[in-house]
Amino acid sequence: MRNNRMATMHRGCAKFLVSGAIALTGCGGAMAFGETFPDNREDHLALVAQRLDAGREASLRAHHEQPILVAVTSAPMRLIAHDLERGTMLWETPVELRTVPYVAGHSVVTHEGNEVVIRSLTTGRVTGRVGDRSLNLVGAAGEGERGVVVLSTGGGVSAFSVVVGLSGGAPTFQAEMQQPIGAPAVSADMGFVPWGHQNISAIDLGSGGEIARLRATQGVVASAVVEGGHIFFGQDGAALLSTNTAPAFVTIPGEMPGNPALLRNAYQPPPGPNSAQSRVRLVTRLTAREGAAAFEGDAAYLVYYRLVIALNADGQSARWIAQLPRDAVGADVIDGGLLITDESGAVHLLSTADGRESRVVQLGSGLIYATAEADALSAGTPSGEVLPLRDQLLSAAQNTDARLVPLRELAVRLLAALPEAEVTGNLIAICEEPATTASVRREACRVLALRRAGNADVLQALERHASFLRGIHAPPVGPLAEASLAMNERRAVPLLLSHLRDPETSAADLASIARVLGAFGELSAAEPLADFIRLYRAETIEAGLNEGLLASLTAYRTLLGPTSRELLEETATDALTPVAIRDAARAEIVALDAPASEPPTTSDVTTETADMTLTEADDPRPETLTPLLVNQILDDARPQLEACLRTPRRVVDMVRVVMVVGPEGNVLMVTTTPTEAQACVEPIVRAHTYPATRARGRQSVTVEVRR
Amino acid sequence: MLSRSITRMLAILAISVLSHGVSSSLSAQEMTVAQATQLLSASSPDEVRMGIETLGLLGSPQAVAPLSARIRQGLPPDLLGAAIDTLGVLGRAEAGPILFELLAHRRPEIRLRTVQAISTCAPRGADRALASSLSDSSPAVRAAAAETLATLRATSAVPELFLAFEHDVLQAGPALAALARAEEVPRIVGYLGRMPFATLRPMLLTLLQRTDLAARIRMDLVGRLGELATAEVRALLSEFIESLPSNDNSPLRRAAEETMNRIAG
Repeated sequence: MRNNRMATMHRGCAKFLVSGAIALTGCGGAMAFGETFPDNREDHLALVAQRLDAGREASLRAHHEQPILVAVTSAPMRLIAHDLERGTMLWETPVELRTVPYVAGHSVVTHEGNEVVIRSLTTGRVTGRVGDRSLNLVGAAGEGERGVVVLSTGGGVSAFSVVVGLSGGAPTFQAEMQQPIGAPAVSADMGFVPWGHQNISAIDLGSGGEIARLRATQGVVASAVVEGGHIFFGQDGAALLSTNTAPAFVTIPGEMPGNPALLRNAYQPPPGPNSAQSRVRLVTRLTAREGAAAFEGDAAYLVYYRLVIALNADGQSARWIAQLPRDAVGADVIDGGLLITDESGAVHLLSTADGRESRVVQLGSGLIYATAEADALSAGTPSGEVLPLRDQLLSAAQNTDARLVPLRELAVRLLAALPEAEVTGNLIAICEEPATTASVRREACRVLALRRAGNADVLQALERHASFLRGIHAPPVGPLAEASLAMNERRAVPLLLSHLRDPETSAADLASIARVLGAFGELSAAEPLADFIRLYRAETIEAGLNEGLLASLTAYRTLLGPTSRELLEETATDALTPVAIRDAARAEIVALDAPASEPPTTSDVTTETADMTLTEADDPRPETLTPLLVNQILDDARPQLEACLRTPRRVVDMVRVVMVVGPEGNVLMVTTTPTEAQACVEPIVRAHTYPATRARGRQSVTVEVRR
Repeated sequence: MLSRSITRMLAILAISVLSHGVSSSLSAQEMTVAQATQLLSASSPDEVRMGIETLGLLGSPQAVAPLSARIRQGLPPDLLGAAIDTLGVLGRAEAGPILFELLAHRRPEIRLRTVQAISTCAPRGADRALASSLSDSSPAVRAAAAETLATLRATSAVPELFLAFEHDVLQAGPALAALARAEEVPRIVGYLGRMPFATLRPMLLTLLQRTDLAARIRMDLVGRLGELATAEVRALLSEFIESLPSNDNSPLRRAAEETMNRIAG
């Protein structure tokens, strides 16, 4: 079982109360978090579920009491509580907080100096103090008069944690554990305590005894929350506590700016009241759906300083974006919408449907942190115009606040996820604007290359050529070329040829142009490609030109097939052409000589057996050996292959490896460009095993080794 | 510019002939165009260079075609530069197509040399091609294009030259002063007060000295300069008067003298 030595539970600690204070040392009592307590007992979990069901109504009532916002002001630091419905301050007190405050039912729990201080939520009166034993206040939670407080060293070796029970704002019991404990939740007189990254224990707050323990191996368990009388737990993902001992964790897929966790990683040192974590967070409301966790409204809200993005639960598309006048310091999903508190002290209630403001409460203080228990807050009618989502995203992508760069990149991705053709024009504008932050521009160019709508914008941009006198910049030809291919927009071919000849076309874009021309298969591109190859093959000065030449050779071979041999051989034997280009031409000749694999037909691969009919879909062999597959196979040898970039004579940026492979996966030939790398690369490539494929003949595969 | 290019080419050829003559069975002077053309296909860069330079030395119009073909086959940077210079030395209009192609070469150094070669070859269509080069991203190419347009007296390029001058291609100024028609002179005069006088001075002097412009136009210019009445204007008028023949007693001279005298020295 668990490795929780010295797990103890102290009951009757109230005897240590001195003037409302409790010292956490030397409090004896019965065991909790016992080493022998069984986990994943369905009967235990069923009992907990029963109690949660029975207490759900009461839980919902408890969370719909007076809507109160607890906030922390900047210098001088004060802890304040506001009645949001009335817009009046309930109380305020000067504090020196070490961590953010926690609302725990009818109490507010803070870490001040060496003590945990418990105050009444409605009056601010101190109802209890607990010595911190040099531990961090990890979290506190409550429902009505019941609550729990968790203190811990945090994650890692020699972790030590203490759980303190609360009743009526005063400590009742404590339990210790030599494991890290996360942020707790409370409902139906039970405390739910995550610990040791994988466990969550249910504690009866009346007795202080552990009544159920779940070990969930599908996700990290760092925090627990109560929503709608259900208990959810997790960190990057969230799961519903039920009798299911292998609960599924729901997540918002995709990388978010600032990597905010869905539920707080409470094993890390707790955030201070002025932490950036208050300004960058992912806010959701969890709900139970078909016995599992789900996101209410299938939405999540990314708060990033002054911007709030409502995301669909797929993480890949947006619903709306709101721009706040100041940085957000608090964000909670409540029944009436998304409650955002900004640093100026304004509390905005936003409609979860469209981001419009339905209510604003001005608290009038400079704030650094805010948290609310405000489900009872009534929402007004949303006011203001709703801009099209495209305009909202575009506005966010072009925001000039330097802190928002990662979010601007996300806005660009979300913009690209929109199907409207006009988006392509927006992405072109961002991609080619030199004043745009480089990473945002790169992202716009990347997603532009993947567009499948907006042909007219792509063609219009490709028609443009740089002109000094007319103040016209060259368009982003590379991404536009790729986009034209994604759209199968063949009208781009003459325009791309024109850019191939234009000296203002960036060298970095030449390879894309050539690749796309080759992929379109328009023979009209062959001669211009030949002209380009001939004119520049002996060039040695312009950086980046080689990539364009190599791609042009491949495209030319692809377009003309055997007819390309003359130019390829001419290039391979031209003494004035640099070795790298000659080698590349040779490699193309090798590729030309390797017979193309014929695509198998269903009849080729269907085999009658005694008891089954095998179809193509049953054939486990890959159809062909792809560069991706070869790269995966060679992945373990990447360091050795990269060492081959340093040849006896020079160091090269890239080695092209052309392999000719038989249908059984047998390597027939390996050539490299440059050839100096051959002796180093070939044995490594040959040392690997390649799968048999469904190809009918030999095939050539080209992969690149880069630094 | 032309004489400088020819001098450079001859010096190169002299050195080249001396160095290669020892190992070659024929000296450059003894070769025919066909033999020099054959050298262009050699695998040795030195022999290719000798072929290029020999074709230049032979000076035959027949050299343009093989040089053009060799350029299109791809040459290393130094040999490409030599080939373009040789076309310039040959000064044949037949070099137009290859030179126009090279105006779109990726390296600005090549485009610059090409513009210089166009100035000596003066091929048909050079005005349009060079007008396009006024929009080149390289300032050196833009400047050379403007100078060459003036050399070629490409009046059709005046609108582009105005645009270039207004985009700080200062070399377009002298070209405009030399090529502007009477009705375009006011646009140049309009730059007074908007652009530094030092930039405009050579243009104004050229305009005053242009006898192909009606005296009325130039009188108007003197009058406009008189309104400025600066020491710089006085020095300009003085230089103009000095450039006139001593026996010139034209109304323009008298107007320039009167205007100059009115400006305090």
